[in-house]
Amino acid sequence: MRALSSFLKELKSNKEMFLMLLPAFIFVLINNYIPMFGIILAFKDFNYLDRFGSPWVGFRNFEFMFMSEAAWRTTRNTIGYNLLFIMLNLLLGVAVAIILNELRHRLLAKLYQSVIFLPYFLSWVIIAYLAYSILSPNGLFNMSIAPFLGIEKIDWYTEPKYWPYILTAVQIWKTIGYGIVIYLAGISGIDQAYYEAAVLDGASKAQQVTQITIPLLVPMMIVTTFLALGNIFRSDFGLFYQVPMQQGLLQPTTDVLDTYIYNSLIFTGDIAMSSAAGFYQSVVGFFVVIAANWAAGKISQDNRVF
Amino acid sequence: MTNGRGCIMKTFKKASALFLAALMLAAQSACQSASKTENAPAGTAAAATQGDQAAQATQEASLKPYQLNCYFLAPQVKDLPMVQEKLSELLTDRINATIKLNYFWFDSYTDKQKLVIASGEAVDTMFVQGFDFNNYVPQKAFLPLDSLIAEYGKNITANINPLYLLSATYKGEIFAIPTQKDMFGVGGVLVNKALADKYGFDFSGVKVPADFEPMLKTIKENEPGIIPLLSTQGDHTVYFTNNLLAMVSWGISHLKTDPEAKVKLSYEFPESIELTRLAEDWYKKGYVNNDVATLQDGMPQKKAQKAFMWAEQLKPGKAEEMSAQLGYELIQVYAHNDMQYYTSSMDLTASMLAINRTSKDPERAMMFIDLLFHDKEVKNLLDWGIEGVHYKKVNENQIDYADGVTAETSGYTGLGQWAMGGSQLIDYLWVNEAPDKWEKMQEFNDSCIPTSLIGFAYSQDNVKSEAAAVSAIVSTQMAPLASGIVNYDEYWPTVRKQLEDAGVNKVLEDAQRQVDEFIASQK
Repeated sequence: MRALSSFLKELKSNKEMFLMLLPAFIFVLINNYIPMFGIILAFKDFNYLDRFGSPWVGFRNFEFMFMSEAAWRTTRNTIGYNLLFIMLNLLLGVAVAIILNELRHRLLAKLYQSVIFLPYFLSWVIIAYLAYSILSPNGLFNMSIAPFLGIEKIDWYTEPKYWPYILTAVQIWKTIGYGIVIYLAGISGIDQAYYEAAVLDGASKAQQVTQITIPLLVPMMIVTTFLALGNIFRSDFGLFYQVPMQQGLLQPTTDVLDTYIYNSLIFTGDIAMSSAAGFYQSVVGFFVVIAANWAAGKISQDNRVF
Repeated sequence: MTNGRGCIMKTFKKASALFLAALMLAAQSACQSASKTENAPAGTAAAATQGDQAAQATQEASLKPYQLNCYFLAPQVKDLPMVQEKLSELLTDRINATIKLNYFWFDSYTDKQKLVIASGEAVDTMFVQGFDFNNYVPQKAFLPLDSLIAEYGKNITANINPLYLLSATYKGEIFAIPTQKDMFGVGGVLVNKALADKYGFDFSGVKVPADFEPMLKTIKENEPGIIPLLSTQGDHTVYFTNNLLAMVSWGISHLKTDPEAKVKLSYEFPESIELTRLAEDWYKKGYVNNDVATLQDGMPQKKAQKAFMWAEQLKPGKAEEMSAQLGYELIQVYAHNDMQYYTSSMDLTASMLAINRTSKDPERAMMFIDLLFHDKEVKNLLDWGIEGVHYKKVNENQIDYADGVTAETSGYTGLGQWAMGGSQLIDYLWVNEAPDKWEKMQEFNDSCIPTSLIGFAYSQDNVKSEAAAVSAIVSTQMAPLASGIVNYDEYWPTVRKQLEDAGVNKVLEDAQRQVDEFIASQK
């Protein structure tokens, strides 16, 4: 009761703020919370006559994700790639943001930023064909680069060993711009007084970066990392499905949970099993975020997000 | 990866008692409206007796206005609203209904279908095919149709080969109305005629796919820059194999000739193994394009005349159809000759119209499907658009583009007439097509016999998890074999191992048990 009345008081005193929150609140409610009732379908043998009244089947709909060696392979690939992407995006994103921020020529800085950001807006299908035009048996690499360098032609689409590098490079190339924009915004939010004081104290540029910029960016880095960790069990479907051109031979290094689920259910279109898959990914993501928050709190209470 | 999002519970309403009462009352006015049927084309009269006509007229008079909501496999076309309006006019006259047409093409149809069924949208008729049918029927997405056909589908039963309705049967009930069209296809190749003539190739000796080899060799040696056999992800092996095997479930087949229908993994029949070895041999010798594993669309190479031959599913007139599209002469050659051809469930269920469980007036939906089997005006409007706008008649049964309209400028073109339901035999033919095309097709249809599993639809209900895990492997690991980029003896054991881990043996056992039960029940 007390909690409620204090909340109402809060609501009253900050009504403009809450009003601004309202659209996002409604969006999340409709888009994320109401559909959650659909979770019960994951435990049912769904049919279109009984719909939500279909018979219960316990955990049977989850079984297909854990059958065969694919379960281990897809889990390893999903988590492995995601950790790699999170790390690289963080390191490179912050590094490039700082460099761009230090550029004196504002016009050039804007230009570089836009060029880096551009691939973010391309669809995966287009990127897949860009990669294909370079890597295919008749592509740029095999027809021009390899003969020029005098090396053997490489059949990229049949050799799984190259794909961790290709996928990582493509992923970073496409998404890095987004992180840079966020970190640039963070940097511009840092009070200039810190830097002025540092200059007066004779701090070098490098010292300013390591002593001021990076420490003040840490909270933002933690938030973006947490957001990414929540999706650790999901992967960018377009990257793993489109870019390797759905080649079965590449699966040891390109098959992730999302592509596996897609390939399993594309023919059967089973609503209950796809609900189970989504549920499983969300639950794992949920616990990873809780664990990460706990771990961040262990290091310093200030770093906890909630 | 979603689910029941936005699902609104909708209960299916049976035709109300009120509706029936209205029907009886209006029976009195039958005489007045009987004249209406005279407008219908001759086909109606032939199919229906005098008594039926009177009964039909009764329905028409008493039917309340209704809007049909129909989903077809068809491309997005500019003049769809115009055709929809015109069709609504015709249907108002015939069955007092208007129509909402929803067209989606191959790129999006199956996704859209999933979404529409899952959302519970009220749909009256919906295009469905093959394994999709096998999935949706046990999930109760469609209505059983037997009593509706008996009452409102007289022209369907009169104009369709009974094998079709049998193939759309699940556990003794019919769940969709197939399109009466070519009842099977023969895997073979289309050949660039100019090149074949240049080297004087004679295809009459071709009995099996391996017999193409000498020609491929000649082209490879003498025509640099020409791909002897263009293949997208091993489609040639798939087409050739389809002549011998009939699929029961993904990756599982039986020999078409086998009356017992013993099921095995598709790549474990001696016949299919031989074809993968042939594919590997051709790939190694460079007869097949080197990007066969990744190529998704061979059209640019075909248009540029960069390919000597490629595989297709053939039927009479296929070469002429493709020639018209590509602009140069082609000849068609079956890959297997001098053998008995079969029609399988997969062939017969390739194009069907089902009535959804959400339909608010299934009777009317059935009347509409019935029209597609005998009403030339309705069917050809769906097929070719509006006379005088999109096409013009050159004689009773042949048409050409309307004056000032071409393939490029027409606002209603590119449809697959085979996908529009009903009977293809009442479709108009184009001026450049043989006037006896439909007679030829009848002959072609008569040349095949059914496999022993017509009317059998494999239900994965008992082994859902295993079937899903298996299909993940089948959908990705088979293409390398068909393309010929791997060696069967090295590659197959690894795939076999994965499939066993995924529980394929359980699926095989389950499928065989269902097949055996079905065959026993047929005796």
